[in-house]
Amino acid sequence: MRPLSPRPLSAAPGRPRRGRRDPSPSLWRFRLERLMRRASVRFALRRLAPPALLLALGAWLWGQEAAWVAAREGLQDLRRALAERPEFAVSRLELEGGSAELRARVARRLDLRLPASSLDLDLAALRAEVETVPGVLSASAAITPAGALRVALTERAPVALWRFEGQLLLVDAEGVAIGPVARRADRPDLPLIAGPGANRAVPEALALARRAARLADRVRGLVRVGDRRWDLVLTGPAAAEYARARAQGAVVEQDSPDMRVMLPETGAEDALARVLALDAAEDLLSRDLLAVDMRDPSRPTLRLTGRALTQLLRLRAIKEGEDA
Amino acid sequence: MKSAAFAAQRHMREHLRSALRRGLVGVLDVGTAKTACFILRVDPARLAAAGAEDGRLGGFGAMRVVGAGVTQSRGVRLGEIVDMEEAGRAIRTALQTAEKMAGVRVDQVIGVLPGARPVSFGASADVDVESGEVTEADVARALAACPEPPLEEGREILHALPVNFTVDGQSFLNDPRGMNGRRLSVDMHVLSVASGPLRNLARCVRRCDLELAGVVCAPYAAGLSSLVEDEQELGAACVDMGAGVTSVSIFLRKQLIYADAARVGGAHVTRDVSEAFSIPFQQAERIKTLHGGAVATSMDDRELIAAPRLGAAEDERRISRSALIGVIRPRLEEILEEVRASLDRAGFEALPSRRVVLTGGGSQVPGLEEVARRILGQRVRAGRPLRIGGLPQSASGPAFSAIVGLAAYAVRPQDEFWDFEAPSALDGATRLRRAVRWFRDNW
Repeated sequence: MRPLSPRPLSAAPGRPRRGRRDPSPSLWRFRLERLMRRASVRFALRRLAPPALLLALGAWLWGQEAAWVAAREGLQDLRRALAERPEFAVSRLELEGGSAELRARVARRLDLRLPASSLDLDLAALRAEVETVPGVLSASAAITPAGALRVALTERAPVALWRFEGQLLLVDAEGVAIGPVARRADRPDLPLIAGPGANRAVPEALALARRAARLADRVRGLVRVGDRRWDLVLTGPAAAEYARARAQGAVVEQDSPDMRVMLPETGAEDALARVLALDAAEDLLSRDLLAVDMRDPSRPTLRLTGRALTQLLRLRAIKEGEDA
Repeated sequence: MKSAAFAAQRHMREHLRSALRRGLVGVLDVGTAKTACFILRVDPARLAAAGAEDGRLGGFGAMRVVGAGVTQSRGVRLGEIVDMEEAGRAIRTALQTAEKMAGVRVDQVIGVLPGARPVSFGASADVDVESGEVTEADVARALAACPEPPLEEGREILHALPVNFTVDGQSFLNDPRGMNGRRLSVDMHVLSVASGPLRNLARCVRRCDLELAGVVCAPYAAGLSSLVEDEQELGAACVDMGAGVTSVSIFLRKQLIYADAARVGGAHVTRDVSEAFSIPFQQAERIKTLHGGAVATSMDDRELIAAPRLGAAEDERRISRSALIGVIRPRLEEILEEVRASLDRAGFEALPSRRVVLTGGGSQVPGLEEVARRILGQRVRAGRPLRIGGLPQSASGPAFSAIVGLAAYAVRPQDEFWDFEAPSALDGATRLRRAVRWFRDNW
């Protein structure tokens, strides 16, 4: 008879020791396998348990501050490692278009620390930044495969000089200031505008200046009055004399040597055309006038200089005397 | 006969019915040499559609073996379990193999009980039919009126088969229900077995977390699968030569009328060979199955078989086949003499057709039929169990006749004494249902 006490597994009878494995399952293994054959158990283990485990793990991690920090740092490290790859390196700045001075200004404004990673460069913001530089009409930024940041510039074309707050500025057709100019004489080709709101009506001023091209040697500039209308300022016929008098230090009892053509708010060009026609016919602008007032087109008015007025009054008195 | 004693049987029937409703039932044969387990998938619709006239063929058509597991038995001697633990391991191995093959889990298992010294009794009784038409209650009363067979201590009834009903002198009725008559008499075949092996088997099955859905005596099951329909009808004996037990069953008019078992079988033949030539037991088994025979010819003197001597594996000894047959044959004759004695006790000589069908693993010895004809009469044939769909070739030989017959029984269980019993006491479920109804009516 075999011993009644529990026997060690290795010594169990019916279990040949010479390497032959017992094919029969142990009771617990048998029970487990039969449990696994239950459809409900199988369904629970295969379909329900994995998502449930994942959810539980996720919920646990959600509550862990350290997990958040680690995840964020991990992501940043990953991004940094990626950004530092040579494929993404941008090593130089290529500026295209525009004048050398403008390019220098743009480069100064951008102030890039190169080499940088293309992932860290925000091209849209860069472009917006470049477009705030005075003198840049538009810009496009791109990264070339060779690893350069290429910024193509379109320079604003200066069309006029604007005297503003004591300095001379170049403005383009939209009235945007491009840059300062030291002297009027530096850009004699551009018309000069002045007055409040002058830069907001540059196209009209240009049109007027073109009309007045015949008088180019006499045009001093255009003055915006009351942000409404233009005055065309010409040098007066006596300007040379006046200048000579000033140079000799004499106190000249005289009005301004300039002649103003006061143009109306609307139809300024037509009014200027009329003035020019009058000038062509009757040499109007060679007369000793202070202003040609065309503000009311139905009533053009001439303002005479003081000298002319006294001459006129004298002549009129002579004529009355003759008549009398 | 007292009906109260069969609560366990009724309980097992309930399990079997629920298993058939689910369509999955396991059949289990814990034999002396091998433990086999089949898993049957039963189609309830086809089972119901197969009429009574189809007999067991209808049952065979409705089932299919989806899993089969066979392993070497351990802890079983002479058809009786002697080591619960080892037998349980064998059952687990076979069941697990079958379940793995089937990919399903079975909970209800019907088992076959080999050996256990079956003893048959005849009993008959007659009662008045109350309403002029035989009802189930009349059948139950008639069965209950049968005298109790003399049971010795430690024995219990395994089968109580109503084999014949007679209504007003008209006999050989299979089902008297609904017939008109005044007097109903019943002949019953009661089979008792030793309760020890039966309980051990039940315990062993339960220890494997299985529900036992019925126990069928091995000779009965072997007869169900090995005898053809007409042999069962005309009267035939089925001899199931197992490893530890040779059992005999006699069928007449498709009913089992006698079962017996002799506690001698193929394992004894192997033991004789082993002892006679001093060969290890496993080698003896191999030599027996490969070279064994029952009738020697002059050819066999010249045929030499390598037979290593016990304890000396490299020994080059050879024995002649005729010497082997000379050892095997006396034991076979002894077994057949036992069978003959058993048949004589049953009065087999008086049957009209005295066919004997040899089946079981031990019946595969070449020339056995010739020997059996001298002892059991001329009408001997070797039988194989019927084919079931899905059964592997390796599990369809004569050695599997008992388990195949068990499968046939499982899907088409014979109505037994306890199936006719009208429930006298309320069972738990009914009582609960009534309580619920009372509550619903009154509250």
